[in-house]
Amino acid sequence: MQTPSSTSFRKSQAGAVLAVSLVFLVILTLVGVSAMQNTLLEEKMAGNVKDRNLAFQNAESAVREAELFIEGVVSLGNFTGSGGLYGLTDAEPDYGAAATWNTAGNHVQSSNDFGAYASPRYFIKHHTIVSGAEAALNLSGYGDNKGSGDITIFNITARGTGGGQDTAEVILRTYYGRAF
Amino acid sequence: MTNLRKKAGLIATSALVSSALLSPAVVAAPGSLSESPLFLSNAVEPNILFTLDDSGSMDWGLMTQEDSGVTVERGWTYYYTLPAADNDYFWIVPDESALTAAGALANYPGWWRPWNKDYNALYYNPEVTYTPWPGENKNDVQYTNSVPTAALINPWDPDAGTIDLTSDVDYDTAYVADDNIAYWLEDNIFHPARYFVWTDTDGDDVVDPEDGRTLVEIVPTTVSYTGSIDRRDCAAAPTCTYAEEIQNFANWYTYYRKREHVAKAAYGQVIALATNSRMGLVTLHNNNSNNIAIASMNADPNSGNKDDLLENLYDFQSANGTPLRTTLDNAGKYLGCTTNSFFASCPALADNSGGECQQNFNILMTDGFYNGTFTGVGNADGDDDTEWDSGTAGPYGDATPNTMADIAMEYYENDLRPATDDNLRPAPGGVDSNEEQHMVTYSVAFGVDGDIDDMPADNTSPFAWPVPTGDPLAPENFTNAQRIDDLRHAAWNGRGEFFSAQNPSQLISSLRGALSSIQSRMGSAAAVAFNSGSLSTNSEVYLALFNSERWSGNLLAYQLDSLTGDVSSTPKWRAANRLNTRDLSTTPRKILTYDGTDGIAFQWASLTTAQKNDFRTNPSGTQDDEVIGIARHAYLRGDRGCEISSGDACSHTDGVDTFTAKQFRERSGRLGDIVHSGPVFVGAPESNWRNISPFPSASGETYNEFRQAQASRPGIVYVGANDGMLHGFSQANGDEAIAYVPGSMYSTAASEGLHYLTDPAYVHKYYVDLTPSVADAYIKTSPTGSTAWRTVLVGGLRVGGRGLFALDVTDPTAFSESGTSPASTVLWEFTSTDDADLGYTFSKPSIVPLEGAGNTIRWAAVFGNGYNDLGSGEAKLFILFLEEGLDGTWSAGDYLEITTGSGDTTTRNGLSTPAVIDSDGDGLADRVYAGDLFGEMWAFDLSGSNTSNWKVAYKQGATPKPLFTAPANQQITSVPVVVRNKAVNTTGTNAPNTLVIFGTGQYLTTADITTTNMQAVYGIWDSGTKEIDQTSLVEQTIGFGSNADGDFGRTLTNNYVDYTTKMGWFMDLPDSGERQITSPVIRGDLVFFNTMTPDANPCNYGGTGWQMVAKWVNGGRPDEVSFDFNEDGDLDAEDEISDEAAAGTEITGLPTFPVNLANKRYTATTETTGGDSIVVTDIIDLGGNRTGRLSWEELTP
Repeated sequence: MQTPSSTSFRKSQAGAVLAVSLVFLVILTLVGVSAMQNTLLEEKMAGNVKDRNLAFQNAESAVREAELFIEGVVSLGNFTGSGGLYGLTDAEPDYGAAATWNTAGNHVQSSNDFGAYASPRYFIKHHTIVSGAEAALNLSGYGDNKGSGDITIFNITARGTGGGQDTAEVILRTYYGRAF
Repeated sequence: MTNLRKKAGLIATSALVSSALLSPAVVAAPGSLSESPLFLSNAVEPNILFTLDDSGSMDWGLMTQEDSGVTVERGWTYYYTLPAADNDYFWIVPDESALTAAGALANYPGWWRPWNKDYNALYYNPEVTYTPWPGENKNDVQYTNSVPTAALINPWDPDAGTIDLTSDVDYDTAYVADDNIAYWLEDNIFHPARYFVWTDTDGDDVVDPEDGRTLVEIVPTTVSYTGSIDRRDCAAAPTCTYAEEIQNFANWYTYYRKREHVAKAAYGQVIALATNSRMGLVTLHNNNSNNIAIASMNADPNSGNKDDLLENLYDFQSANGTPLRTTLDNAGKYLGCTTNSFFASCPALADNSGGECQQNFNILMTDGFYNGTFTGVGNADGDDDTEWDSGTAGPYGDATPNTMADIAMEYYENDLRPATDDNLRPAPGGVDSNEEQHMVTYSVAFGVDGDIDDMPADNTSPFAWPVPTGDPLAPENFTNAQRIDDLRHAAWNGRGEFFSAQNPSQLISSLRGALSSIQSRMGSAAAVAFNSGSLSTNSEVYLALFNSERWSGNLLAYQLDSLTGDVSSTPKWRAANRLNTRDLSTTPRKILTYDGTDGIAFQWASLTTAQKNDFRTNPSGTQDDEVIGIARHAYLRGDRGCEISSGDACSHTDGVDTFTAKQFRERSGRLGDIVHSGPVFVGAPESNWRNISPFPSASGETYNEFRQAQASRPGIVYVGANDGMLHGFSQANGDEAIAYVPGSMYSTAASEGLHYLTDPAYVHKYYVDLTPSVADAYIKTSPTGSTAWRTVLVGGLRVGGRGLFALDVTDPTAFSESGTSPASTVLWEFTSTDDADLGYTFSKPSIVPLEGAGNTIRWAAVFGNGYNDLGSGEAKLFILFLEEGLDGTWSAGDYLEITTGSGDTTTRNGLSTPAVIDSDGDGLADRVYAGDLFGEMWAFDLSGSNTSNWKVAYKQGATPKPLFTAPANQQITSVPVVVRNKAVNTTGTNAPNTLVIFGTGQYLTTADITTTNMQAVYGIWDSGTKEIDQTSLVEQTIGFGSNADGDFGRTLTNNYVDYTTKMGWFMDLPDSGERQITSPVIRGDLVFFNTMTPDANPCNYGGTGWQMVAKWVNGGRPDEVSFDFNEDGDLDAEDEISDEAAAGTEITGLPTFPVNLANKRYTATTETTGGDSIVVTDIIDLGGNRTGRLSWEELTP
């Protein structure tokens, strides 16, 4: 009884398939890598948009928080130039300086961070006072007619950041008026 | 207390005068202006029951630290030091000569000590002035100085005999010989007017028999005696002459020799001075039937109920034991109107005339240890059955039943009169907050001590009260010292005080202390003012208070929580406390005054002769020596040494004479009462002046630059006080930085002027009582000076006088009494001697810029002439040009007066505080609104630079006519508030198109407490029409209703005001007697105002009020919920009444004007006693233009 030898099998093969396979493999690899690169880029782009958006939303939430704070205060006794609250005669800090946002005491830090790398921060400056209609008509001395219509204007400067360190940063400013 | 004594009389008099003036005329002058706060005059008199020990020991003439309280030698007890017809001879201490003769001196080494004040606290003390008892003896003859040659033995009963203190006494007594048997000791012969001076040889602070002593005999041959500077009977104190010394000794003998006499003197003194209270007296045994039921005290000690009480006091006689517990129990029953052993009558006032809030006090005095038996109250203090007691562990309770402490608790914790409404006012400091009728127990131990030295530290921690040895449930087992501790325990449980008096002067001061503690508890009195300006800038509230007991005042600064708006409960500083503890020698006060032309230091050397004569005026109106004037002046500057019973040294000299008598009115502190003057905070400049012409516009001169330069100057709180001064207190710590005595304060008339403040018989008067006005002005401050921005204060006096003063308060650091500072700080004064038409300065000035010739500004103070002037009686507007008074004279043209022609010398009118407005928006004042006592609202036109055209705005021919006239009996005494009428566009024909909003009513005289004329609040449209009356106004009606939860409040109609046919609106104030006399406050579209109704029921703290709110355009109810009516912290549907926004909520006490800050309304009332009793309500947030988010930008990226 004769059994087929391996040699005879080898002889019957032609070598193109391997080459073609390898070529395809290379092509597919290239396609895959290229696709991956695109995806990564797109993902980076999307991430940046997301960070930017996150920073913006954080900043906006800080603004809202500051406005709510203003609505809640009864007097301006806390606006003394520390703790992120600046009075009429205090110089407000430079919003572009890192120390403004990194050093405690220059700003108010929000308790929520909504997934951002750092919690949003804000500072409020007592900007000016606009006399109410009654005060403009009545001539009064020290201590008269307080609490009857003058409008106090504040500016709020808030910063939000994205999800990672040194990703995105958004700084917003609003002016806000409240009648005391 | 003397001051209180005459107050009732004064009020009664002024009530008569004013009703006589008011009744016949329909409209009239305000009548006789009250000289003390009106809401105090109906305070409820407390019941004060004196429980006096008349046990046998009270008859003794010795009080020592021995166990017996007297002196015991070899087993024999002696009770008396000098013979008298009414004591048994063998109880008198033996003398050296007789003891020597009997050979017994060695057994009596301490024989001399009873005649020494340090051993025998009752004996004659040469450092003390002994005065006769107040009142009259049994023959209705006033007690006078004792006669040394015939000194009465019993002052009450001249028939009881006399003794000659200038010749030797000779008496027999007993002594104990070596065999321990008592024998008669005859021939005790010595000069009775004598005392021993002790020297503590061994330094152990105990008067030992062997210690050194010096005999001082008061005999004519000895010409001088050493007393003390307290000896006000000695012209050359501390040195006294023979005549002075023997007189003092005789007074001591007659009036102070025995415990009983001392008690009578002590009680007599406090009763004689007491008024505004109901007093009665009970003794333990009622030996001579001297118990006398509680009755109201009149001022005069020689008549009426007070005479009756004093006579019974002086008549009591001491004998028998000390059954204190039964007596205290009966006192409680008596005050509660239940069956007792004293009286059948009930001491309580009727429910509607004060019974609901009447306090009951029992002052218990004993010189010994109680005995007798008692049961009936069980363990009232330790059964923990009410919130006022505790368990047996304390601090109130113990295990022992039926003690004094149990009795005191029984009548404290249980409602004495359950059928009466419970409306008692909590005592200040939280010591007694039981609102049910109850008895407060004070106890005084005279000459005896307990084991415990202090009260429990607080009212919650356990405290170990004494436990009887043996059976702890038997109070009879208490030791003597424990019985005194039980007295202390009774005072603790009864929420009173315990006093331990070791000598006569301590007994008197203990009783005065008890009375004073009761009086300050009554504390009916908190005048209040709010510094609205300070609220937003510094987060501080300044509250001025006074206590009517000795008319002391205080100014308190409270922190305001800037987030919650809550007022702190603990003050940041108390100005009076700072002033009281100030060392005047190292940090002298800076006080200025006015000499008629210029400012001077308030120093004796600087004063004019006329001013010095004020201080030299004595209570009867005649002139004293200069040295007494110096002393009175020093009193005003804060020296308290010469006050009656002062603990400080009193010594003043003019270089020749010396003054050391402690005879001036007793004060509680250096700061006098602050009643109507509100504090004004002056920090960074606050005026809103412009920086363009005609205001200074050159660089370096603008208001803005001044504002920035002064932004951080030290803050000062200015307030006027009725101690004759305007005070300025540092905002930082409450120290007085400046004070000013207006030149119009001085007077040499009796019961007037600054000297009257030192008079012990002082009855309250107003001095500097108006809220000062402060504003910045661009003026010269001396006739030759240059013009600059200055902060000017103009102050008035209200009932304190007819005058105004102006100060330059620009630089608080420059205040000084030396150099040119007084002259430059004080600008001028303006008084009724400058113009007789100036009345009492009730009108608060406005400091405003007026148009001058050639595009310039004339700065002026604008005010009404006030009430009760001495001139024409017409209501007039004054315009004082600030610079024109600097030369010290007011000549024609220096000031203007614009008369309304309303009022005459029979029915005097007076112009109230004006509102000054800038109607054309050029920054300069051009129109003034002010009301008068005839109910007329006047408009004044000050436009243009020609002052001859400044006049009443409306005229009929040449006759001035008011803008509006209210119905009869509606006086306008408060300042109006002015707004532009937004319902109508301003045109050339309706200018100035303003709404003038004000209320009516008067609260100046005692008659005003009970007047019930209908008063109203008005909004009058000033559009060129004159003589408006109620018929052309739309009426809004105040109603009454409740919200869904049943809270009652006020509603208001909302009728439309058609300004084409109507001239404004009004609302009648529906409560009987309700009036609106404080300034209304505008906030957005709303006007907030507080009304008040003085109440005849004395338990209502002077009255009640309503906190109201309305829309100012029509006087109607707010369109939406505008305040937190149900006080739940939310503005919601629960704050509506019948589905409409509530318009008013009631408030207890008479409110001042509301102060709105952010969404909070702060109101202080006559009930306010501290920062935490200011009423704070949430109000609607103010919306409108320029609120909310105004802009938005993204800065990065």
